Amino acid sequence: MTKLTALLFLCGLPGWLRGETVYFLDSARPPLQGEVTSFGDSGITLRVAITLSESLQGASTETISWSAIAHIDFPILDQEPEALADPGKVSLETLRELWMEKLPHLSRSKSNAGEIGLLYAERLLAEPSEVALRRAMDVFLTVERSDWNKAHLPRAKRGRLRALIASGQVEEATREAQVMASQSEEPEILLEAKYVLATAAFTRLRDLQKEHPRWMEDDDVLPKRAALLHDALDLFLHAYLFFGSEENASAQGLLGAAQVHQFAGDVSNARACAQDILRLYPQTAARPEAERLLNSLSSTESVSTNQTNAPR
Amino acid sequence: MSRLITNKVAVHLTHALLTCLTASAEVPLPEPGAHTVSELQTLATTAFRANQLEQAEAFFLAFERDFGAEPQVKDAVDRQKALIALCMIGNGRAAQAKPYAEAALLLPPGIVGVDVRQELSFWLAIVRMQEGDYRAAQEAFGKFFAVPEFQPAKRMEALVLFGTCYVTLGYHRTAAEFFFHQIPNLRRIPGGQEYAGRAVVLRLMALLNSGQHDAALILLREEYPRMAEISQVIAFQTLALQLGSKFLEEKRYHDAIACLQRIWTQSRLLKHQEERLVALKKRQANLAQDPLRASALFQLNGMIQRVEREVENFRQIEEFDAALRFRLALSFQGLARYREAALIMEDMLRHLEPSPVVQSASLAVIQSWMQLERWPKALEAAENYLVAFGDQKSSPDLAQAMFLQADALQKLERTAESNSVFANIASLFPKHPLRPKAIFMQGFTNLLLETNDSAATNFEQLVREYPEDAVAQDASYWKAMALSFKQDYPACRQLMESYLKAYAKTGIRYESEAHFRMAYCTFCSADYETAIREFSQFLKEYGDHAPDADEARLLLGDAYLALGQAEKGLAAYRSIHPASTRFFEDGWFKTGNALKLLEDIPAMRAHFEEFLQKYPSSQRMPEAVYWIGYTLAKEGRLEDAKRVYWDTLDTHGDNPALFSVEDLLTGVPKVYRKEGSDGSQRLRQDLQRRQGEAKAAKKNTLQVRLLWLEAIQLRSENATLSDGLLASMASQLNPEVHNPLLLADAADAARRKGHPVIAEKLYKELKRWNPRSLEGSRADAGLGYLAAAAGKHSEAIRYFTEYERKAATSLDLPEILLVKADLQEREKQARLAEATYEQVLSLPNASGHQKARALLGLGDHFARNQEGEKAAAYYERVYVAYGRFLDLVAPAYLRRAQTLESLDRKPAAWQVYQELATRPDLSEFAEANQARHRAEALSEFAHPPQAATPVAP
Repeated sequence: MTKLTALLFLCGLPGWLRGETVYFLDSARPPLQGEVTSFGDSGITLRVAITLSESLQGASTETISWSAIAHIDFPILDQEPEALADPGKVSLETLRELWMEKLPHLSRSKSNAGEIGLLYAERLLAEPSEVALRRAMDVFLTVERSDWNKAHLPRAKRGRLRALIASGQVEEATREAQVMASQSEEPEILLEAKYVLATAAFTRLRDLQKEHPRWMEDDDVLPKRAALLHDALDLFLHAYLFFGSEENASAQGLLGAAQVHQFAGDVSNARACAQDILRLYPQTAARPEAERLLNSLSSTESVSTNQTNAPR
Repeated sequence: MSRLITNKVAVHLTHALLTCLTASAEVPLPEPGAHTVSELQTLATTAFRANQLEQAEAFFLAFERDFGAEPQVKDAVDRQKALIALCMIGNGRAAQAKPYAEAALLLPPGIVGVDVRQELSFWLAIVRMQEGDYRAAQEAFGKFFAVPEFQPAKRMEALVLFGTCYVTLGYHRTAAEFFFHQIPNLRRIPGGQEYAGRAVVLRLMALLNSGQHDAALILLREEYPRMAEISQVIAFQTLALQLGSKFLEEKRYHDAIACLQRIWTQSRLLKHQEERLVALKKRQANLAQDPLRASALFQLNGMIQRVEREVENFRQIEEFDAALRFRLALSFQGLARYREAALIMEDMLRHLEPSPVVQSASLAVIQSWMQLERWPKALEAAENYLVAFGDQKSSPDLAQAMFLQADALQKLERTAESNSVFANIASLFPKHPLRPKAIFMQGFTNLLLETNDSAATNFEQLVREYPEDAVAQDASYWKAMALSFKQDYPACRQLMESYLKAYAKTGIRYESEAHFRMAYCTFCSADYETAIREFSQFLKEYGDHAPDADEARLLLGDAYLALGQAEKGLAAYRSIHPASTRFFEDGWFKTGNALKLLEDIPAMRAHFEEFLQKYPSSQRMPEAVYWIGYTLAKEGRLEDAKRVYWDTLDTHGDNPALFSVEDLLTGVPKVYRKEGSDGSQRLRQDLQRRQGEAKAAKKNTLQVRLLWLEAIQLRSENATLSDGLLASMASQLNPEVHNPLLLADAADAARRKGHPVIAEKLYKELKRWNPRSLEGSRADAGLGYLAAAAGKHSEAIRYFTEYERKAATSLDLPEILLVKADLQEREKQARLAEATYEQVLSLPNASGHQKARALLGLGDHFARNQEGEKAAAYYERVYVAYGRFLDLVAPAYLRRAQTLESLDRKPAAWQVYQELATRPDLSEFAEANQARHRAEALSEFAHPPQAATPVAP
């Protein structure tokens, strides 16, 4: 049996096809019109009207298995075009509703449930609550595991990494990032993983120095601190040095390196990294922050100079 | 027809383009007269329509040959010129087509339509290019472009080729200018991106060739974001590499980086272009089926051809990646961005096969890591270098790499290994310029290892073999110093004299140091008179310019005093500068001591009062107070002596930064003790009163210090109360500022009082805020005890191990090791436990009782591990060697007997039971009672007493 292309008009009950008119297009048979009575894991059940004579009509039930369906052309839901065009313009609740409606068809060919899921999860990442972050992680994971469209996989993985970092699960994020960095050749995933690892190293460095405020006197802590400092810097610089044409990733990494240098009191290298952003990636989102950092470095040096010159 | 021609032309021209206008053999014509006019016309047209160009050309030419002269067919012949030209071009004979094309273009538009004109005009221009007549070609392209009726795609192609002619003619500036203006225009036209991309590449090339590097950089910066759109991306990036290399040569490092850091790897470029080719060929296949898309097909074919050629040429380039990455690394190195340089080169080395470029980069990596002081990375890089290139003994870089390896080892305090590598360099490279330095460093590391004889030998070798080398003088000096460290003072003096003589003419690098050292050696040899002369001369000659001046003054004073010349000695002490804190204070206190010996008590007191007044933050402040008190007590003024302490405490006691106050406090009880038996009571009262005053005055630090002293005082009398007081300090202590001694005492007391949470917090805060404090090891011990009590054996072992590392000579170490061994047994770390017990036995400061416990522990260890004979031997050692510790003797007896019994040595077991049971000094112990019962049970094995079995070693 040739695969059918199912053209479904979904308007009404979310997630259900029940009670809707369906037209099946098949090159080997005339279009089939029926009413969806149920659908499940095995396929769709239709109630098909049969005209036996002018005055006599009946109905039969046909079940079409999923395996016989090549893909489904899903209808467009309310506010879906707006969400796809500019997700920032629709409310979070709208995105959630769209996601819930599309979720049952995440694994169906040609479904854009994955895209909707990613938009929803990315919006959740921006929410300042633990609940939102957990939900974002769940959605990213669901898309990662079940979306038919494997092109979404890198974005889902990256999103989950970001969610882990945002929720403070640095160790798990580090583990995931390490696995990704070792397995993936996709620049996007590799760079995201490296950035996550760099962020984690920087976080641990800050924590270490906070935990050991006299670290500079502690012979046991000094090598650990040095290792974290170098890890953070090496990882932040990775995109810039090896994937310089990936503008946003490179600029983001340079900014991270500049911040680490600043934290470590290395004004010269902090300035150099920030200036590289202005010089090489002036159009990226990292530029304003780089400018702010340069200004703060200048004012820090100005204060130091004034102190040096203060009368005794 | 016109449409047919257009379609066919497109196809033919496609063919022509692909064959690059390659000439092929002329077509054979049919025999003259073989066909009529109409037959030839029909045959030709039919063949043309069927794309059989060879045949069509033959028939058209035959028509022209056979009937061209006849006036009635002149029009037909004229019309056919265009078709003949098209056939010839399609058959790869563009040169032959030229006259036909030119003739056809002269015909009126009604005969030759715009489509045919377009094709013929374009191809004529191409032919001129192929003939090398670029000016004519350019003119033709210009004229072509100027015809608005021609297809936009063709016109854009003509525009680009027009500019290409400038490049080919060597008018690079003009070409650059031309493309600068045309690129925006091309981008505005639909479908113009491809042409704009080609124009960008050509402009970049022109700018480079005309030396307009800054403009080329601007172009790169503008186009990098659009790089993926450029079909000849390999050419673009190769030119970028070229530009970057030029900037690198000119030391314009930032600009070099801007060029180089976005260039892709060779594999990525090839992959990108290969994927592009697949997509282009797919489009080509689709377009080829649609005769209406001939022009698009033509454009596409040209693109495919260019990309294929580009890919093929690019594959031939060797070490593209290495060349690129190395230049990028050098650019960063030029900016002193050593981290970036090292990371790039390190990655390069990981992915590339060994080559001269890679070898050079490997050395640069090591140098970069050294510059960054990342010693572990530098060492790793050096070792990798040696693995990859270590067999190239003739390479001059190998010695350099080994030198850096040794340097990194030394920085990592792996001095012995460092020494060894330096020795290897000296041995493996007898003629290398680095050899003298390697020998010097060998000597230097020997000094660090305190193998002074070897150091002296190394330095001597260096001076002997390389007397003119820059480091020879250093070696000469340090050879003498090695002997000083060895305390061979006469030899050191002699060598220093030789050193000074040897370099008197050329300039003495360590002149003042050498003179000081000679005087020092004299002093150490107890030749004080000579030492006085030499120190005095030294100070006269070098004064405060010499770094050792104040030490010299101190030793001068010592020498005078040694000869009984107190006045001169004290004057020498007074001349020491306060900035040399250690020597200055030494001098001050030696002066005080001298006054004490001279029994000039008032002067002594005044001397130390001056110190107290001027230098209250000195660590030796309590010592000064002590001596002031001493002088007052000597004069019987005990109350005044006490007052000095209290006044000092009132002034400085609330300053937590002065850790010396705790030392001061420990001197207070000594003053009160001089008052007699109720001195301690009065001290306690005074402490409590003063605590109240401090509390009222909100002097928290003073209050807690006084509380601490009260607790310390009570320790011998009432340990429980003492602990209570110390533990109560916890809430008042601020670990960030207070003396770690207070923290440790409070934490220990809290632990003993059963407040583990408070104790743990104090211990951890102590370590956190005082990482270098000696009390840190007490914190480790305390945390270990807490962990052990909580059943966290592994954690406890970890803390005790840390204690062991930091406090190897501590008096508490044996006790801690015994606890640790017990925990190791519980954690089934049998071998480690055994080693720990053995360690206790080896410690010189372990008490007899502790050693006996270690032996008992070893006995239990072996018994547990089914090694009964060993266990029995250890048990026996306890009661034979440490018989005075009855609390251990009794269990040792019993366990030995039990072990012997388990070994089925019942007669021996009975004897031991019997010994234990019958010893009157052990009769009160439970073990004796058990022994009695067992002896009775084994009475059948009773036998007369025998000589004691020898004690196992």
